[in-house]
Amino acid sequence: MAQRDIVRTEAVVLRGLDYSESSRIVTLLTRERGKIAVLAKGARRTKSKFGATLQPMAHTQVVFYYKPTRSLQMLSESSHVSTYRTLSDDLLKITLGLRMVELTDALLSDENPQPSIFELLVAVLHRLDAEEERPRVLWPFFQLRLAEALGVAPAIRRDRVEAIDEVGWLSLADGGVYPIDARPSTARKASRTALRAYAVIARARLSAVRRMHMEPEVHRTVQELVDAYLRHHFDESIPDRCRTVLAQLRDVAAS
Amino acid sequence: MQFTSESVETLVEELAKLPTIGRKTAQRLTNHVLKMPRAEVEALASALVDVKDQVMQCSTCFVVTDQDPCPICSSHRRSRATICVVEESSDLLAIERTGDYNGLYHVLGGVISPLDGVGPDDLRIRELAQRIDPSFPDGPSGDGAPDAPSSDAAPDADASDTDAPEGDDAPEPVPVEEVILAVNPNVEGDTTAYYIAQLLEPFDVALTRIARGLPIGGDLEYADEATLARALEGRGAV
Ligand SMILES: [Zn+2]
Repeated sequence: MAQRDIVRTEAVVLRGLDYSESSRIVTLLTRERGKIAVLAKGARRTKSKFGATLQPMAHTQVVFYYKPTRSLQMLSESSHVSTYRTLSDDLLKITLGLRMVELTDALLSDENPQPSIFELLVAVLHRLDAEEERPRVLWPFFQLRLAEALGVAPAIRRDRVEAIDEVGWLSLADGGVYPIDARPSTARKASRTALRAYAVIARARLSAVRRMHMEPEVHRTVQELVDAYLRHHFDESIPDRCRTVLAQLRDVAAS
Repeated sequence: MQFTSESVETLVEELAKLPTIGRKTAQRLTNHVLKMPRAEVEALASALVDVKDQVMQCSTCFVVTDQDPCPICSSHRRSRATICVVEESSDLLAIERTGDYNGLYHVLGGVISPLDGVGPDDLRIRELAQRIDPSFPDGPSGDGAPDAPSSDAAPDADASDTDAPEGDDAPEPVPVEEVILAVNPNVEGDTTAYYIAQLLEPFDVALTRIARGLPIGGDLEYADEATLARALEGRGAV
């Protein structure tokens, strides 16, 4: 007889896909079962019991029936654990939040529980929701922390950071920064200011990183360094659908 | 299961390409077609072909229509100062069925969905801005902020004009005063609404969004917090 468990767990909605006239397939990052796809019957109906709980980025408590023989589990209940106040009212915040869930979806394999990644995503989304002044820095912060949780933490050494003069290198292989006369094999050159900011983001706590102030030019360089580092390690998996769309949104969102 | 007849198999395959139709449903539909009288099958087949041959998009509002401009855009009875923005032609029909709206429409052809790779350049958003200010630039965005709206974008129209009987002459253009965003209440709808709001900010036009909240017949007790918060936010005088 096929085994059937009832699973009750916290989750963040990564994405949804309309399926049939009334249902949706929703990809969740759950605390206890990792990334999992569930079928939410009736979710497209106006009076669906799931309400707004299946929107991407939603932080929820879900109940589903788990059958190991199925690739799609049946969602039974979903309710908010916490709701966001400003996240869905701001184009920049929406796009940053969507990039986070998209990257999480792309880099995590199915049904491989990683509670630390779940905690990270929840914490950063809530920080993004509450952030008033500098939400942008949360994106490279999230990228580097996710990389760390997946086993490729940037190897930052204080003495090397201190040794950088005007310009230095980011090693794409180990994510560390190096002085100009110690060039690693695959490296990006950048200014001392940008490399120091990168090193801070790579090690800072969430509560500290939000107090960082970077000039737009420095922020752009740091973002390029982080993108290059992630591409170096996860190349094929890095989604670029969001990136192209966000490039179109950027001009308006920046204003 | 494969069918032994090649033409049956072809029909199943073609039907299964349609959205929300899986192979099993396609097989059921195919079995049904096999039992239908020949005249009905011919009517279905020609309806499918006609829809491609005869249906076009209105060059103003982009609704699916048989004539350009569409009956709504060419009507003298509709208020031309209001544009209701919808995702698809089917949403336009849903609003028309209420009988409560007398303005014009603009069909975006979808919503901004970064997770699906759909951006503003894939939709009729620039065309919307051009209906509000004809000097709004063509071509992909990224070449900076839109030009400031010209004060005399369109001549003022006589108010009695909207009540005039329909004729062959096109209705006089009227400056747009209100844009109503009737996009779905979800993340993609939010993204689209905020994008359009920022894009239209330089223009002298009121921007509203249809209320989001509880469905009629719904129950407060069972509403989720996000929906309830929206309903409170969008509360109105009794
Ligand atoms: Zn039209």
